[in-house]
Amino acid sequence: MASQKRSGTTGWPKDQNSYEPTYNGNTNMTLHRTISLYPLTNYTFGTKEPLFEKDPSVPARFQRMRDEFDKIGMRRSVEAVLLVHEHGLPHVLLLQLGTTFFKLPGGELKAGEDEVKGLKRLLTETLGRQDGVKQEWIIEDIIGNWWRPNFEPPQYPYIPSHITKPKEHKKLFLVQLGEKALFAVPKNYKLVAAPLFELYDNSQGYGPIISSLPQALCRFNFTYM
Amino acid sequence: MGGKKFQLYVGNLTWWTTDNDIANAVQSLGVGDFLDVKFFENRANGQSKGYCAISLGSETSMRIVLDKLQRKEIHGMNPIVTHTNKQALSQFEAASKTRATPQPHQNVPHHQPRGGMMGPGGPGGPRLPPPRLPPPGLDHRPPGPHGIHGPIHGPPHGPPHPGGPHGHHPPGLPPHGPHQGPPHRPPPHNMGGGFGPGPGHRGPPPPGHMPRPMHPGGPPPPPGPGGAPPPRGPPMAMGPPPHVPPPRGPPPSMDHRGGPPPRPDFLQGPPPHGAPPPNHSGVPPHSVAPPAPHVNPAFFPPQSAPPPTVSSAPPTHYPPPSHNPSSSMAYSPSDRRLDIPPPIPEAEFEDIMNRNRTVSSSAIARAVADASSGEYASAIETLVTAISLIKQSKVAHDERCKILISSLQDTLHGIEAKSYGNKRRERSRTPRSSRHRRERSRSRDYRSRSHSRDRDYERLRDKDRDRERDYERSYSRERDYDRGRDRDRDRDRDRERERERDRERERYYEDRYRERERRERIDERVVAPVRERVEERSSRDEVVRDRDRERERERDRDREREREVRTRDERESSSHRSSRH
Repeated sequence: MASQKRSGTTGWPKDQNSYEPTYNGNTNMTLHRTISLYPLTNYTFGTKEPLFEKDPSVPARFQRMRDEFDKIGMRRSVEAVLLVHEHGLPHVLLLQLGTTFFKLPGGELKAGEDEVKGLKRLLTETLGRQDGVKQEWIIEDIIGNWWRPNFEPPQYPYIPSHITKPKEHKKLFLVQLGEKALFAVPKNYKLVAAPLFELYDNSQGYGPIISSLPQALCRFNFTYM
Repeated sequence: MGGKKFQLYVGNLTWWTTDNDIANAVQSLGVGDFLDVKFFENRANGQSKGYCAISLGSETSMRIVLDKLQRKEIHGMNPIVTHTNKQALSQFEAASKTRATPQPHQNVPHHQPRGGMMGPGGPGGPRLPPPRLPPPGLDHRPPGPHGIHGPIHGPPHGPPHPGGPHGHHPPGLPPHGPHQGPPHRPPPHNMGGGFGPGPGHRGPPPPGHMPRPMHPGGPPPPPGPGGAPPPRGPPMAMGPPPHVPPPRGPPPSMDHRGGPPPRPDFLQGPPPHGAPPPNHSGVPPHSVAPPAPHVNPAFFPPQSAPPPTVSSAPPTHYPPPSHNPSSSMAYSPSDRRLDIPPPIPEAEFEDIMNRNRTVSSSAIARAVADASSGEYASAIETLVTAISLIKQSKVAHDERCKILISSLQDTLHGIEAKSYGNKRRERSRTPRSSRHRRERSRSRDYRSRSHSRDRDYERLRDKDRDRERDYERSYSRERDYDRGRDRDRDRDRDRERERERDRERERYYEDRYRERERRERIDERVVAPVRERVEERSSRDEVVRDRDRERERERDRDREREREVRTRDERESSSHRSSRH
């Protein structure tokens, strides 16, 4: 590979295109995914009316899951990973409910709803601004699939072999944020920006899905704007 | 959820046997009111434990199924059907623990990892948060007691059993050959070889065998040693001899060194050392076994997560500690097993060392905190525990460990001095004094366990010598019933108890330490920056917030409950091992 430009700071050549010889000239997008991250300070956060969960309690949640499973089948959930950066490290925006519970923005899709459209709808419901300005969500990539084999809390990133009918399928999407944006956070939530090291290997604190986000994201090439 | 009234357990299944498979099998018997099936799974990774509970609509169907389903073959295994009682459940559970999860197709010459259980960790994977002391290696070889598996794994790899199906049977195999190299080949079949899958998952092999090796002369049976394809299934030994201890498979060696008394294992016979190792050995060679039950890496609690990637880089070869490979179980493997002192591979050494360092530092931190708040008793206990843990570890002879121990002892003396100076606090060593701080479920388990043990012990003294043998669950092999022996047993029991206590405490410390760290971290770094911004703009909303805070609190409670449930479940699945059924 003859022309390798070296970037000043890292050993990786700056020009990545030189790495694509084998793909018949087609840029294979997944080879070098570049995601731009902007500083947390670029974003402003307002508040809006509380957005309550559909289920008042854990047992109620599973009961509703059962009922809907009988009617429409496996629940499809979508969640969004919104990234910002601080000090050169990606941070994931999480909604904090109470003091110990964290979740990603997103929710359940309606029966037959398209995934990307549904995710945009849910993001607007959860974090969308309310001042009438149009807000675009750019859904960049899928970064994970998790399944819930039974009407129980455990979820796994695969379907265990003995399960033929998982009860829920959750898809995680990476959302590319614009350079500046305004978000309105429902009053019953706090929006926090968790650095990746906080999540890494911390499934006690965040559960398996969020705590494995650093691994799910490490394949991307982030540029810190 | 299917109705609860007419339920049965169906076990001895491969882990890839699905709910549809069960439904089809039952319906093919002519049963029309099959309602539901619910599998028992390892909480840590969702893998099926190989048994399930089915719900039927009538007594007649139950009878039909009880009678006829075992004749069916599902993925090469014959299901074992029982009523839904605790004994059956514990038998299935034990079988699942011994079922080794084989490594993921190992094509690699065994190396399997470490001793241990890495993966499969057998027992239901209590995956337990990685912080659990990694030293996997330890498991296998648990110093001494582990009595549980006795002979079993003798053959671990291999063919041992009758005729070693595989033929290679290492008769000549050096008992633990470091990596079990050769023997492994045989296992590929799982069949026999015992160990293979050993505890639980590991090891691709053997499905089959596992149980057998266990008893000397145990009927190899069921799956027929022949390689039954379904390897996994180490059929619960339940089949043939009911009392036969379920394959112990390298039991989760992880379990604990102390030999998990609580384990449902049945009489095990000489403490299987190394039972765990079998896993390793089994594993590597198996490339043959196609299905190669995968190893559940996360499984092994003690070990840290990293699953042994398939074949490559066996984390450490674990010299098969106990695995006396060859030989059919007929001979008392336990003897052999004890004789072989396993060398400690480097990586494992480092693991253990790191673990000891962690234990020591967290114990000191906690003890100092306790002491400064005046709770000398618990501080002292903490330190004593840590000291004994480190001393018991395999690397205790190392200089670094000695340094750790001496620093712990210094701290201990300092605190003792303080406590004498301050009050006459009772320095009882019983954990009960500080039980309220420990996790609730653990403490309950512990207390009841030690109570029952006390009771047992009392009874022992008064009862027949023979009975004593039966009750004895630790590793004394002697048939000498002197009073002296009693005392030894007493000591053993205490040691066991202490070890368990230590283990529990360790786990608890790790968790708390981490939790505390995390809480601090999160409070400081994460929330602050963002909260600033959020609150800036919503000063007006303060009032509204108050109103909503109540509702929030309710939700918090729910969330936390769920989280507790989640973590408690994780913990339960780990302590599942230790609680009796």
